[in-house]
Amino acid sequence: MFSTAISYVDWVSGSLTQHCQKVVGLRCTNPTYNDFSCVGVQSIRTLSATLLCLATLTINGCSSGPLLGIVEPTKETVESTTVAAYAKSTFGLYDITTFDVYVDDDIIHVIAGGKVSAKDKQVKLRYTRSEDGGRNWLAPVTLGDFPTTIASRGNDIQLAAKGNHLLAVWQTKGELPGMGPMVSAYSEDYGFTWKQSANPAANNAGDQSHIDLIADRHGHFHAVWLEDPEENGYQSLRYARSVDWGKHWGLAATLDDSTCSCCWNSFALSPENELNILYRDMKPRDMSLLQSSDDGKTWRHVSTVGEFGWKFDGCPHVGGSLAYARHDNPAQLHSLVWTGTEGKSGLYHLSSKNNGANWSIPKKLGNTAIHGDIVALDSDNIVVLWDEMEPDGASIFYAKSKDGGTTWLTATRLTTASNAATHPRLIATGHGLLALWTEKPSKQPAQLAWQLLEK
Amino acid sequence: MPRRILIICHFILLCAVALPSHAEQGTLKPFIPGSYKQLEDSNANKPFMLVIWSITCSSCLKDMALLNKMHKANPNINMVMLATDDSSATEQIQQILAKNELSGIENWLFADENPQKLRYEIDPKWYGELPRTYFLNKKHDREGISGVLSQEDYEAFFKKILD
Repeated sequence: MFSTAISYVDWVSGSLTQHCQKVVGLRCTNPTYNDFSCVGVQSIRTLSATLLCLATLTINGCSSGPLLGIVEPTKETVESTTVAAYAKSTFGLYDITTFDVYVDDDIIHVIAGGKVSAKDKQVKLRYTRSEDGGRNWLAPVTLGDFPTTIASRGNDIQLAAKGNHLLAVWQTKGELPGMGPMVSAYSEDYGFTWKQSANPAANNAGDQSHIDLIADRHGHFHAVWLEDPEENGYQSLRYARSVDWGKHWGLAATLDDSTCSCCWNSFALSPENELNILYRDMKPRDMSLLQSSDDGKTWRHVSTVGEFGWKFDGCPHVGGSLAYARHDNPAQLHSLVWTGTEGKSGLYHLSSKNNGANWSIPKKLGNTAIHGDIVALDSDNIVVLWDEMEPDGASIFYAKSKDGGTTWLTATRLTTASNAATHPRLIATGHGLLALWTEKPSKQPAQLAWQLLEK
Repeated sequence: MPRRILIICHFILLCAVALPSHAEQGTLKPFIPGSYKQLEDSNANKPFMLVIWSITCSSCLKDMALLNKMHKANPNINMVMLATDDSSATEQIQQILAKNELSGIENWLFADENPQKLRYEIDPKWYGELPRTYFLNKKHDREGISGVLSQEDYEAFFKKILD
């Protein structure tokens, strides 16, 4: 047994930005952080935390008051010129090119990748976590010498966690440009040390991309990805399960032998421990929902989420998101999907009352929204986050519904278009909501940005 | 002396072999705010086709051979290509263009820190799906199509913009 000091540093505060006059301030706090008890292969470790400077934002809202009821918001519903302050960081790297966020037992885990210097071609990975909803973060841990990643926004590195066990999977370089196999790394000590593990795929042949990971209630890790063994652009949806925290994987299964080749896949776990996969199908290019009730042994196609009938032979580079309405209504499922159907292009919310079997009429969000994420706090309170095209770039907006998605309150702007913010993620913990995204303001490297949102 | 002549001849021969392959690399013009207007200006009173693609778009890569064929078969249509990747992908882009014998045409590469702004400038109604092809007639009335096109599609659009 030994003690390790965990440093909580002011790497966040150093890069805080202020866009709003109503920001009250930044202060350093010294809250008690949990000691960790970890039963690992080697020994029991107790980690005691030495807390250093912590950045806490107190934000006085800059958004306007809520307005009820929009199906297809007009421009006015998302127009807002001021944004609240938010935090951003490069994790000590030169820039951030990819990241993922995962919540387990109210702990927010984040993994991010970027170059160490401007001229560096290799991408390094760093891990951090927050136990208070994103207010304070552990000093980033550098993952060792693993094969570099070619992950980028939309084809991001992936992370899953269950207790002290963490698993990260990413795409590395292959023989052909932009293609390559997956690489997997696991940690058994809350992310302090990492070891390479087996590729979830049967081998390293061809292109293995657009990965998602999830840990179920039993601690089994599940991986889904797109695979193109022949590297000829014809992708299939593959799945594998690990019952030893991601060290080894069962035989990979093909869930769909013809899918869109460039859109991210999304897992969701139901309150009944059912696995769901949302992915973009081939013909038509709408989003399909697969479900497994037996720990990934068998899968069935449940429905099409948003039957737009989009006929398209190309790369949208946009997947979807799924969220259960938690325990007060275990069969209620919410989704965000994007379609490029002529005359209907945009991001849509849909809900299901019967565990994905049937879906509501799609409701468009924003004006030119693309990439979105969704959280269902309960049956009624839904929050969505998206990026939206504007003349000066893309901006992040979020909106709330208090009636299960029937109507939406006025969307609130989180960023200005000139910051080129993209691919936002939204997570909920007992501490609140946290929005994360990457952005690249002019003459600055790309950074990870985040903001706490009121529930 | 004969030895020196032999060396010079050898050098000339090497250059003759090396130059075409170097030329195959082609030039990637930096696409920045204002570049779309520049493209229109440089093609004033002429029809042209703009093909937007990326190395991360497998459908785009599958489309390259047909693009090459259409380019060769329609020299009267100026074909311009624009990659939406960033400068770190320059080598890969050039490899792909060279492999598909498309290095010789006018090629551009996104070169602004804010790619979304560039996309919006090209077309506010385009969400970034690829490939994206614009056919412009000599008045520069244009039609934007997302997705892979067939030979019949190209021929139909060429006919339209040449009329």
